[in-house]
Amino acid sequence: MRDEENFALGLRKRDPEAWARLYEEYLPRIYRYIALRVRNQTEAEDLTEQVFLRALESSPSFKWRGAPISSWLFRIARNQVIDYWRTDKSKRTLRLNASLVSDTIDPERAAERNSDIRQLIQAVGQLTQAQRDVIELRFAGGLSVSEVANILGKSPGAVKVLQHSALATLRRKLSGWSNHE
Amino acid sequence: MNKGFEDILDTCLDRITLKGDSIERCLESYPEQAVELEPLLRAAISIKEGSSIEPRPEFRQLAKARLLSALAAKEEKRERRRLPLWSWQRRWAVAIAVILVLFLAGGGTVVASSNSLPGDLLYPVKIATEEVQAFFTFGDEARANLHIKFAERRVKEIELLAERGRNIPESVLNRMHDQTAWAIWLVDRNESLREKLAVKLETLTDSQRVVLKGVIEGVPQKAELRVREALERSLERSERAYIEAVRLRDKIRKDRLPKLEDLRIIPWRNTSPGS
Repeated sequence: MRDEENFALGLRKRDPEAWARLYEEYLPRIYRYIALRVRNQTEAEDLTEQVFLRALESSPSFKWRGAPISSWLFRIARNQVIDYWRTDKSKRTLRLNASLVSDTIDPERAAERNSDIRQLIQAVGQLTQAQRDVIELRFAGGLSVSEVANILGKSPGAVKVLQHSALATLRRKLSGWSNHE
Repeated sequence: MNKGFEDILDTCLDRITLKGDSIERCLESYPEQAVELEPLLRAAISIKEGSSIEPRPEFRQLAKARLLSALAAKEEKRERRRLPLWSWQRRWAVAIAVILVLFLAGGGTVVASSNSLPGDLLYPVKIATEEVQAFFTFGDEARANLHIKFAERRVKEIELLAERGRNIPESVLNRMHDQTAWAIWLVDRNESLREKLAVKLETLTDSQRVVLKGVIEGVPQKAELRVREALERSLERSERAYIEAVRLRDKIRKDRLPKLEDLRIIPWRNTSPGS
């Protein structure tokens, strides 16, 4: 806890070491979370970068009140994605076929991975918004239930209930797909 | 009862996804709930694995450099930080690898590779040679020029691949955009470079747009959706880079405009016939 407080202080003071640490620890998780939500590699890269720049902008007013830093950063990411969909409604029809994994190393493997991801996005898309939030933050963002609860402004108990119901739905959807194959 | 189950499910999820425990060990801990738990845990693992999308290493490097640069700018530190374009370990590794290739294959291979295109046997040599060249290039101006030169090469390669009806790998498009983004970043942070390179950047990004538009128009309808989308995404990135380059060029114009406080007030002279 002490470490988290010092970390937060470093971020507030705009200490380069603290910011480099924030970047290293959170960039892949923030990217994964955003990539699943916007379904497009270029857009995900842009938005991820903006999350960190926005965090930098707001860091002087950031006060550590015991909540983990992840909650602060993921809240910015979540708002960023909400704004993204809100500002340009044409993106709602954005291609679900867009690839999130580049074909740099192994095109076949990349195609396979993109197909898995699309399947997952389709399954997650059938959840309620509250269930989706929980699943995306918990599994793509790699957050704990208490961190997710903090971001969504819900109790940990409520998040656990949503997690349970979401997993039960996804289990049916995903097993349905694998049975069709 | 149900609340208890949700707690158990969550404990198992933490153990598996965060601490690397196995499903079997979790089920052993909760034998009474095992039947209900197992499918949910397996679904959770599928989701976790499915969502493990890694960002491109080039993006990671570039975004980090931009973030630290923005941080330095915020702090108004006058001395410029010397940010590594690549980590030193990697740069040394690449340099040693290429020197070995040069030694084993001889200089003729490197010369021959200069005309190679993506997909050719010698193309990796061309790219590795470029990385070594970048490794031994110091100073913002020289680096920016080099990135522009490499990005121009990528444009040429894309054009030639399209002309010959060959596949344009996404990695080439990404490399072109990364090299352009590095050049823009270097020019943006260094005022004196703007005068010298902003127009060059504008020309580069404009040519990227033109070439990509041409390539997209020429892509056959039956081409894979994946190919078409990669090109469209690439065009979007070029459009954004072009806007950035124009912004840099406009900055020079603004800098050139005399500021109000610099204007000399010329006394008004009455030239009316009566004076």
